[in-house]
Amino acid sequence: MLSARPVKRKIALVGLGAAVLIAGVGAGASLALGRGEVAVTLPTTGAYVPITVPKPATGLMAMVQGVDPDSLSKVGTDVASVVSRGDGTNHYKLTILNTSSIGYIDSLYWAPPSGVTITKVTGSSAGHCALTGTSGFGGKLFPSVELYPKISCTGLGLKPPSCTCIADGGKVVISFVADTFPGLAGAVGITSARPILKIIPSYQQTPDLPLCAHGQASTTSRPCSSGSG
Amino acid sequence: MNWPRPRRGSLSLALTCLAGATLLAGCGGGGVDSGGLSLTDRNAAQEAMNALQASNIATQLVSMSTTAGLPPAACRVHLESRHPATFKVYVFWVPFVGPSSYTWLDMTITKNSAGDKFHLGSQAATLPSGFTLRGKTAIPIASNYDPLSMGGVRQERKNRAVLMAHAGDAFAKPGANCQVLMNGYLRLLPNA
Repeated sequence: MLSARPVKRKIALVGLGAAVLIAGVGAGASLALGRGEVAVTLPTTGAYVPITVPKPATGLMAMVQGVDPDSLSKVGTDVASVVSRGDGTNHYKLTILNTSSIGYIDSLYWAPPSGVTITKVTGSSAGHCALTGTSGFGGKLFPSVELYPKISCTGLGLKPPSCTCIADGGKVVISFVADTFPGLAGAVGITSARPILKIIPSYQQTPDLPLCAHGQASTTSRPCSSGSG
Repeated sequence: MNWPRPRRGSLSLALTCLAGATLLAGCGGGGVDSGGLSLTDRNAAQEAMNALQASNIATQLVSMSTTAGLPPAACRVHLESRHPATFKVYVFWVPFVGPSSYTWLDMTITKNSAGDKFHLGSQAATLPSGFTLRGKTAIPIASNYDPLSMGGVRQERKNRAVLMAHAGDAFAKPGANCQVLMNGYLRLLPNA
């Protein structure tokens, strides 16, 4: 009778050999099928380093240095706003224009200047606008008390301008009632926007027009410049 | 010659080796990292982010960081589907100074950027006049000169709460962290 130990060893070796063969075939097939891919990477130097932002002076040092606090709280130039008088006593209109390089503006709020209280929002030319504020300060006794009332608008879809140098972006006109003329434009905050892929330029890129010949007038089909200074 | 009948142990050993080899052969580079992403997934994610390089998105990522006064507090990529490879990218900024707003950019992207979707949101970090809310109580954090970080542990908790409130499934697996670069490009970071 043969010894069992060499037989056991032979069976294990056969199994191991088959394992190596199968693994090798599998790996080869993977490579053949293009799955032996390399990682997609980016450079790590120059403009490809992680973004850093210079830290402004703060606290007492900033005050001593006379740093303008408005320069610390950076704001964008995403909208232009104007307040004008409306029809009726204490009725006003707020016009907000999208001047942003971001894209579409969908919702925003307007906080009036200090000392002005908005009592009612009477309408808007786009989206839905309403009077809102921060609640909870009245406790259970006065649950409806709201601080810092402001106008909030949603569903606006204000289109971006073709160039931030041209005021052709989407706009909304909001009618409201306040206890006094706001005067200054207050503060607008964008709460929701849809960035677009296309870069919105900050200057026009139209080519120079040719000079008009003597007696030639500029037309749509053949524009020219008079060249007068 | 009569071969003796193999013992159960040796047969099990051989079968185990065969099974293991079959599993390994099926892998061929398809293993996933600790975040649940395979090399194919990671490459697809980086290529989807690379497709945004020449777009307005790169400009806005730099602009948002400059406005916030800080680099993003979070940048996360989550694999939404593999066919086609679609990723959610979530970038969140905590403002340096109190009167500014929390801002977040939520993107759903693929290698073909034409179908990508983008949403930018913001929320006041403090109330007007430099107050922050602790529950329903207004707490003055400081003057306009002071960083939001001076609000202490409570402010940190609020920062985290707002960050997670708008993240959706951005932090779910499979996914990985990302990084905004000086040129506005996005880099996928390795999972630990």
